[in-house]
Amino acid sequence: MQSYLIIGGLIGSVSVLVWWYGVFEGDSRKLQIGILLASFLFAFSIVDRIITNTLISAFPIQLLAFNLFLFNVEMMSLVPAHHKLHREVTRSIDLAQRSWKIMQRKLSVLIILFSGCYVITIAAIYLGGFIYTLFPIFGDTSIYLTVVFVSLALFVTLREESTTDRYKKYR
Amino acid sequence: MSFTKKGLGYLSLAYCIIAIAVVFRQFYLAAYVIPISLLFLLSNSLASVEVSGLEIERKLTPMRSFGGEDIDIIIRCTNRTDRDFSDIQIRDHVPLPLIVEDGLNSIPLSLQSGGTMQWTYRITAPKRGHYTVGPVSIQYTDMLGFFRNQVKRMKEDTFTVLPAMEKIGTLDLRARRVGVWSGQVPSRRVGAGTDFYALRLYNASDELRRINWKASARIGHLVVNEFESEHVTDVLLIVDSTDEGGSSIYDFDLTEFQLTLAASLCSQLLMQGNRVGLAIYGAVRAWVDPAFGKRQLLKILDNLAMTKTGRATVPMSYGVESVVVSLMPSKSLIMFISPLLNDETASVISSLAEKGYLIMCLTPAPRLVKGADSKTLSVRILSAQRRANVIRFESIASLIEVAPDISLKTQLRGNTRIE
Repeated sequence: MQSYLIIGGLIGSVSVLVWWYGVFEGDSRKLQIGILLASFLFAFSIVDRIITNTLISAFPIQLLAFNLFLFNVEMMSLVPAHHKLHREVTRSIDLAQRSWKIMQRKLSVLIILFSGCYVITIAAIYLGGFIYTLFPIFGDTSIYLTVVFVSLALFVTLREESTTDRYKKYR
Repeated sequence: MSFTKKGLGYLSLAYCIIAIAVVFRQFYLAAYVIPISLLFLLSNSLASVEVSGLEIERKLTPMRSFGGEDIDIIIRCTNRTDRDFSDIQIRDHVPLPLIVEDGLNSIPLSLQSGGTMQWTYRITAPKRGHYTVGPVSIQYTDMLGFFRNQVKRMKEDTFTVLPAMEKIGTLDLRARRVGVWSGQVPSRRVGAGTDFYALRLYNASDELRRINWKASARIGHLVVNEFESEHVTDVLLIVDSTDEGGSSIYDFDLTEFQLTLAASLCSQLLMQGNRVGLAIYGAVRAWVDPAFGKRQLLKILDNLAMTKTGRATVPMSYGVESVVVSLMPSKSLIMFISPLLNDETASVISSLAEKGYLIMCLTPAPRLVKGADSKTLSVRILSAQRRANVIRFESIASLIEVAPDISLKTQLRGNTRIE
């Protein structure tokens, strides 16, 4: 157990270091390596929690880690573009400043978005637990999975329809 | 709408999590899908892009070119909405064979409300023809880039690359039939002109400066000079752009040379005030009714621009004769631009000559080739066949052989006068 923790800690530290180095450099490759290491660590911790059957107790922390992982993925697509602009646009300081402002705004939106996601997910899980105490039938995994599948499929279908309508309007 | 790679990645991740949850029967794992679903939902609904207020204008300069001239395309985008646009991709469709030489036809755009962005890109001088640029497509994604949408603005602009023209100087024409308007073609009638026509006895109404004093002294009566009136005439140019394999005897672009010749002749004939029409016979069959003026020149050049070399779909006797007879009155001047590679041309020209038309045939001359290899020999045989046709034509019509390496002005000077 001790060795697992040491390996996990090492991988985590390396991924954080590579990640921040990538952010400051604007190097998308370093960011990708950081993300890969973090995803490996996350998958490793999930498997460990499943094996030791401690997934439920560590859920809020794991979810936070998952959200941070997704946040980093989003940052990965944001930061290199800004750095590239800074490197290439040497003449127009105004453009670089605008890009910096846009990046700041996008980052703040991302922070709000992921915080919201985290809070809503935790709330949904606790609400689910509350409903389970009232109606134990909802504790069945298959119902949860069916709901998730159906909602994803519905979401994709509705998105498709709304876009088609919008396109018709232009024509 | 389509998923971006990122969107597909997120969706795959969600389904992977569900699959792992099913395999390990850990329902809490499925809860990791909730943040992904929320991201999809919020990304789409929080920042929906409405591009209908984005106004796009395109300007092409020049709209008409004579080849060898690059085309500048200016795109101007104005945000008429009260929202800012960020990260939308504007792409102006440039079809093949057009090549973007300078600038970009596709750019990412961030535009504030009321803001305007203008940029220019340049297309390499294309070959002769009609080209269409557009439509402009606007690509945009949702806030986190899960979905990609594309809206095409149905706006296309056309530009024309006209055949190249050469200055050929004043054409000295003779015609059996002239129009009523004054021009530069002698009419064989007495009237206002510059060429001496005859002498006649002086009338009281004649101007004194027209008296030919030398002749009067010789005859013993006052006589005056009479001049030949000059009028405009009707000319129809026929361009034979059929290609049945014989054009290999030319080591230059036969069609382009013929079109340059036709365009130059039309321009000069119209400039001299004549009524000019055009008939194109080839893979594309077209004709322009005879008319005067600059607008007619543009109409003719537009038709010449769309000429394509190839096998004709209808026989020449029908394709040319029917057009000539319907467009031109008898005794009009017909200028036939043809490589004279087949016998059918001869029969059509002789038939038109029989109908009373005055025929002038301008034919591109191939360069002489020497050698004994099979390819050279085949070229020489074809050239000999063409030469035989040329000899036959000389008895039917006035024939001018033109070469591309000598200026048209030099080659046509004094040769266009036919009786």
